[in-house]
Amino acid sequence: MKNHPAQTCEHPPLEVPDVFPLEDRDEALDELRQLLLEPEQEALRKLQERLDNPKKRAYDISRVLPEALVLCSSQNAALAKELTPQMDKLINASIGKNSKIFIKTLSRMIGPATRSALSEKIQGMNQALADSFSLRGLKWRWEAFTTGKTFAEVVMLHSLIYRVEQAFLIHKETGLLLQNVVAKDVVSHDADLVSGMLTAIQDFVKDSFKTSGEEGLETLQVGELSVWIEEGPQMLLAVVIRGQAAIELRTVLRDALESIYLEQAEVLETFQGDNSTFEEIKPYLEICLEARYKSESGKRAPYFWTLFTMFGIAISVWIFFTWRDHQQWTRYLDKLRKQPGIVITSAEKHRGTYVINGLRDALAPDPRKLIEKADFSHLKLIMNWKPYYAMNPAFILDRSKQVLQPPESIDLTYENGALKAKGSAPHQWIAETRILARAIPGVFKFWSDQVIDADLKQLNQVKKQLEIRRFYFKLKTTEFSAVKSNALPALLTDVHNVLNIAEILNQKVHIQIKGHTDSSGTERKNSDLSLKRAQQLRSFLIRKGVSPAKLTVIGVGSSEPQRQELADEDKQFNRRVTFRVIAKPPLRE
Amino acid sequence: MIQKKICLLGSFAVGKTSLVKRFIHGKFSDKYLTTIGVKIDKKIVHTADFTAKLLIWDLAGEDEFQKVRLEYLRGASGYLLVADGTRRETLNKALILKEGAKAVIGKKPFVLLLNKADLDGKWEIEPNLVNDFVQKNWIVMTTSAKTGHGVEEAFQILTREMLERENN
Ligand SMILES: Nc1nc2c(ncn2[C@@H]2O[C@H](COP(=O)(O)OP(=O)(O)OP(=O)(O)O)[C@@H](O)[C@H]2O)c(=O)[nH]1
Ligand SMILES: [Mg+2]
Repeated sequence: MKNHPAQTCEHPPLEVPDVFPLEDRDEALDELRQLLLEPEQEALRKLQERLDNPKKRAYDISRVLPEALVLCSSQNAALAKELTPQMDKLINASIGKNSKIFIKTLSRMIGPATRSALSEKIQGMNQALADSFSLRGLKWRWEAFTTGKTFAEVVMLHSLIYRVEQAFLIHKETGLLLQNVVAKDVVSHDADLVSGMLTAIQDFVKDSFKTSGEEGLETLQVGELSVWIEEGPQMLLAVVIRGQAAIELRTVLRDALESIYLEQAEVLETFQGDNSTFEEIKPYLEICLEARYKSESGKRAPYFWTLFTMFGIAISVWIFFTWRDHQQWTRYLDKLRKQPGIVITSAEKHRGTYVINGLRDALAPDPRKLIEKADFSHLKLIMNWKPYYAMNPAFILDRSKQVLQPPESIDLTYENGALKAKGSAPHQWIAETRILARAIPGVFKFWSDQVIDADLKQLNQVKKQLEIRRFYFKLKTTEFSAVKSNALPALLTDVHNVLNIAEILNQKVHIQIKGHTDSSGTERKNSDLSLKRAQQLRSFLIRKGVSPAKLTVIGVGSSEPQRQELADEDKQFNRRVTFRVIAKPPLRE
Repeated sequence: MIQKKICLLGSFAVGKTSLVKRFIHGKFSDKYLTTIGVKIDKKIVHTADFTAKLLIWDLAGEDEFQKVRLEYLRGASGYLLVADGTRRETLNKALILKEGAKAVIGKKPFVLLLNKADLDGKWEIEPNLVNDFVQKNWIVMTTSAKTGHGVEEAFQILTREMLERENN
């Protein structure tokens, strides 16, 4: 902007221009114009810009369009008349291009409303439909004319989202029909044969594709009819559906099957081809036929215009949600792909259901837990994970820990196919681990040379403890000299410990109880006495429950003194019983 | 009404489909249209003692291109084992299939049919062979889908066998 108010103020007064030369006058006039028109010019320029810039224009219109539409439609029907054919064309094109999406959207957003409107006010609806969708109206009239159905019925058939026309309850093994029901006005074929054939197809599919477990065919599509098959214990429930059924129907089918099974379990157990008892369960099948009426709630009787507006809203809402879902879906897949221990083999969207197939290590986190808070809660997500073993080191180590359950004193590490253990562990753990470790996927070697056998260490300790025990005796008797009150129980504990730990270590040991005397007395008497002293302790141990086979006695008289008998006091140290742990079985009891 | 699933088992072109057609519609045709997979029909059998609804699974016969799919036998209460009397090898095949059937559904009543009895001149099965089967307590019958000879009886006898077995 060249001119600004500060400059214009300094110009001479307006009456003066006459005396100026011509050029000066022109200049002055220009200035005058500027002065006078400045604000208008600015406004005009802004307007021009608004008109030229499509973005701004769109923004402007968007602000007034809602009111304009409301005004138009409330004051006269001209707009509707003008718009209807155009919208018809658009909608038709959209349906042609992507009818599934359209049907689904409809079923979600206005399904219930349409259906209740149809049932309550079918006549008024006829008029509206016939007028507005003129081509369609004619087509339906033609269909009504050629099939002999009433026009209302034809509209019903086309407008309803779906209708369960027949239900077959089939004995799985024999393919025999247990019961069937047919909706009003539906021409049914021989139900016995249909049920046989469905079983045959099911057998064929199962055998041909060797599906894991029991799952067979779940849906068959025949033109505008589809057959949904639900397998229950010993029975199949197959329903013939016209149109696109909502996934909730599965639940209805499952419930029906369960209820029937509860009532007929006994009959089914011994089923020999007599289906007369299945007359009673007909009501359950009839529920399946009526399933589509269940989800209704809308009581309003909308007329065409309302529906029409809802179409528009529905589509935009739908586009938004689809876009958002798609974003979340790809984000989620990304996350899963990055997750170690999870391999996605296929991920696809199928009729509003998201299906992920893949492999998952049992140690990988639950894929459902990776879904961010609200993200997927409203989506149908089916995941099929086949177990597999992930081979990255962290997983192998975790897996090893899970399988081997090492004690806290053991430190496991994994590197290049080798699992290493360090620390101390019970003998049994070490023995088992040596065998188990190499069966763990990813572990090819197991190093245990740095593991200390805790049990072996303990055995040596208790052995030593037992072997330094002494029992002393009075001269020429088997009577203890000075014995502490807890000496015998302590002996028993030592003996038990030695035997128990040896057993854990799988070592065969026995305990030798050796009697001694001092040098007084004859050699023969001494040998006799020493044996008696040893036997006395053996009987004590046996009385306390120690196995006799583990205890041997020997009397060595005075031949193994522990102290040289220089004085009389020395003798009392030689009248004793000692113990030895011997690592082989006794020759004879 | 009591229902029973039965199967027809045998080599290709021995006349399984023709036997079913004769039994159900009382018709016969010289044309040979091989069965693919399985075809299911039904008929109610009446006798003095019983009435039963038969669901008849006509399995495709075995030829060099396809094996009989024995899983279709599952749930059958009995079966007709069909051989072509004018082709000796179809009898051997029938005996093999019988073992196969036993593996799938266990011991079940069956009737061995030597079909095409109207083609006397070309008969390839010696009477003493049939005698051997009879010795084993098998039920053996000659039938002709063309003339209808033995067809109704074959189905009735099988039905009776199945129901009697169940009652014992
Ligand atoms: N003469 C005569 N021909 C027969 C008889 N039964 C069947 N045929 C003929 O034998 C041929 C084969 O008969 P099908 O009944 O189709 O044989 P199939 O056992 O069903 O054969 P696949 O379905 O291929 O296993 C046809 O040409 C029949 O007309 C019979 O009793 N007598
Ligand atoms: Mg055939």
